[in-house]
Amino acid sequence: MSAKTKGGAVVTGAARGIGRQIAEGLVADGYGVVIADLDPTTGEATARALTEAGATEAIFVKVDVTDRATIKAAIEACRLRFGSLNVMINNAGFNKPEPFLEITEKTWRAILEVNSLGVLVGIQEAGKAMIADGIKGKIINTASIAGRTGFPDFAAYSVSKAAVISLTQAAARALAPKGITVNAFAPGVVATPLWEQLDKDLYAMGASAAPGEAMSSLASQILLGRVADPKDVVGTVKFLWSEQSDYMTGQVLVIDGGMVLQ
Amino acid sequence: MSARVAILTGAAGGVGRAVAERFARDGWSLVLVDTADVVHQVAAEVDASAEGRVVGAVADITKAENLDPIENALREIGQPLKFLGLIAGVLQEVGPITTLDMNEWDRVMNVNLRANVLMIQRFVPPLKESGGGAIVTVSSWFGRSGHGLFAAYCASKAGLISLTQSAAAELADDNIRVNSVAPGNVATRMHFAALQEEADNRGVSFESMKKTEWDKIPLRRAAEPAEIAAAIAFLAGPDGAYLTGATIDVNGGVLFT
Repeated sequence: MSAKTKGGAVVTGAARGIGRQIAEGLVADGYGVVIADLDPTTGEATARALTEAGATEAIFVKVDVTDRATIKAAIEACRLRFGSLNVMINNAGFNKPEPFLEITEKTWRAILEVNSLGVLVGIQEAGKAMIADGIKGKIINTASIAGRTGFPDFAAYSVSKAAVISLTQAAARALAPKGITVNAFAPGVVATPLWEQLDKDLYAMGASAAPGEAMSSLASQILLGRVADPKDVVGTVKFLWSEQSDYMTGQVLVIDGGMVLQ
Repeated sequence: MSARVAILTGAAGGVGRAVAERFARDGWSLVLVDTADVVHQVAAEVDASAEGRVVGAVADITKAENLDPIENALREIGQPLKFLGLIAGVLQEVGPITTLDMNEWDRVMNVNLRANVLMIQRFVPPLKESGGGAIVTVSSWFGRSGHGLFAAYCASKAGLISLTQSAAAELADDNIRVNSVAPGNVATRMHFAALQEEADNRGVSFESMKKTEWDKIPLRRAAEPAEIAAAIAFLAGPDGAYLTGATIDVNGGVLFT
């Protein structure tokens, strides 16, 4: 049995990258956390590492966010183990760059299925669980600055993240009467496995002249002069899951070191 | 925590006072600025719960030559300046553009826009001297979109958001982050007075006017001043270290941006 917690949280895509850092922040803040991810090997290891380092516990549940039953199972596991679902972080997402004229239906569908439909299902199932338990919970979605402005080599990703912003707004209106708030954060360029892969893909596509160039050219557009470390994002997400942001709903917090200035 | 000072304008108002109380609790020393002498009383009351020092300064910040008392108070405390909270603002007299008195336009622009430029000009040098810090402006959801009968106020707050972004771009290399908090309705005297004025204009009761306005807000209430202070404290602190040029909308969902 774990130490007394502030309640439970589910983080999708939490095996690595931003999701892992958020999960670590939640554990440090006293939440029991479900690491919901497709990858059991890394996910289990992350859950173990967070449990060893933290005062509370992290458990792994294999989740494919496009499969409603698996999201339900992760939320159920959270309620059973930690008593309730208080914080839902819909974070799972991926990107596959393609030049605009060569975007395939297959890529489009795959990206929208995970990044947009996955967030819809995550909000729905979290909302139902919070309502059933009478929890005035916090639902937080990972958007992106790409959801605020289109990028030529990842149009589908931009669309999928714009959808996350729209879903955040619709859900905020839908769930406000139940005391549940729904917000999003929009990271800029973050040094994560997603961005490392993106940098490689862009180089392979010929969109950049050298490995690392795509990322560093974006970094030069950031006022603070560097790309974000996943840790940089955690403070913002923590603000959103804490009672400090109780009067915020339907909002998108841009955390990009000063790139899009919106 | 090491000693550090925050300057807060509009400190005698509802939001300003809440920010002062929050920052005092977080261990800051404070220079509290307002146009009225009552700011000294606010400073004395806030001081009681503070680890740091709290000093009041009376100044009409719409004129550069009036800022000396603020600088004197900063010098009196003698700790590094790490935060500038530009909270002071005024509402306009409600009315259409076609008959808007240009003196009223100037008054609103002077307080909501010009004063903030003057404050930035005067206090960026001491922020740089202390190795950088943060500036937060308090804009408004009325600066995120235009509203009938509030042209001057809306334009001034939209300008303030723009000013915030320009300052963020100019000051990033000096390690000074500049962000804005855009409140919706806040349960302050200013908000209740505005509701009363609009109720009188429409010939309805205060309670019915309040219900009309608050029903537009998904969370069905105005913010507590402390909730605006919480967002400002977040932007001033280490958790906000990667944010600059951003505007945080703390508005109960009344507007999505």
